[in-house]
Amino acid sequence: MRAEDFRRHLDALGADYRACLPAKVAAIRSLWRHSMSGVGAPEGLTELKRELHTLAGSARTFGVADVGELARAAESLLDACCERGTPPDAGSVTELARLIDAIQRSVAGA
Amino acid sequence: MRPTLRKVMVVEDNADIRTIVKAALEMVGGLEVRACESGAEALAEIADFAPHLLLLDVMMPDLDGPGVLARLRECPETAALPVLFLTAKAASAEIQRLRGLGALDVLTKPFDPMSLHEQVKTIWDATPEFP
Repeated sequence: MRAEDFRRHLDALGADYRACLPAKVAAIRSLWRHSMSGVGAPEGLTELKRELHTLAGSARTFGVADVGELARAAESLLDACCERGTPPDAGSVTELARLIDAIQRSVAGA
Repeated sequence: MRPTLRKVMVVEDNADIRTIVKAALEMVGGLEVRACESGAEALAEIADFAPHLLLLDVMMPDLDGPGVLARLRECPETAALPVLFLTAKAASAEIQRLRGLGALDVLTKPFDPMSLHEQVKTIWDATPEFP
């Protein structure tokens, strides 16, 4: 297969990926709300971290770098909380909320 | 003696990444690829597929990449199977840790799908010999 044919295939995969991004972000926001309500925590935070990790890895590969970087930052913040074995403190909660809002805005503009 | 690289098993829980890795290796690299979404699936299918190389995601639920590698090394039939790790954690200490587990090398995410097969083949060709 010629490189330009594969590039076209990649473009199609990327378009499919971007079309699915709002649903991925909605799932992350739902997990975040769930975690903050105290229902299912800390399992909810673990699941949230996984979803952020998945988004961080895939978004950057599909060329949505800003979404990937924001997701990576949020994942790192949750990583630090998990390593300490404590729930996110007030500062981390504020920062996570800001990052998730920023992911949503970035996806809306993608 | 090193065989020609023809068959690669990709183990990656992220469906989007799995799709793009498979497409890159098949469509550009001309390789035969079997994609698995978990370590358990890979271990169940490895004898049937008999890959030359495993491209193994590090962070997966339940059985992670290092866990899969450890299981492979315990089994005589797969003890020497070459493994490349795929990770989003690009810190040099983490890469050294993964190499120390016995992987051929470590590829980092994000990767360029256009050149992924070249990266894989370069590492394969640079590996001097296999048991």
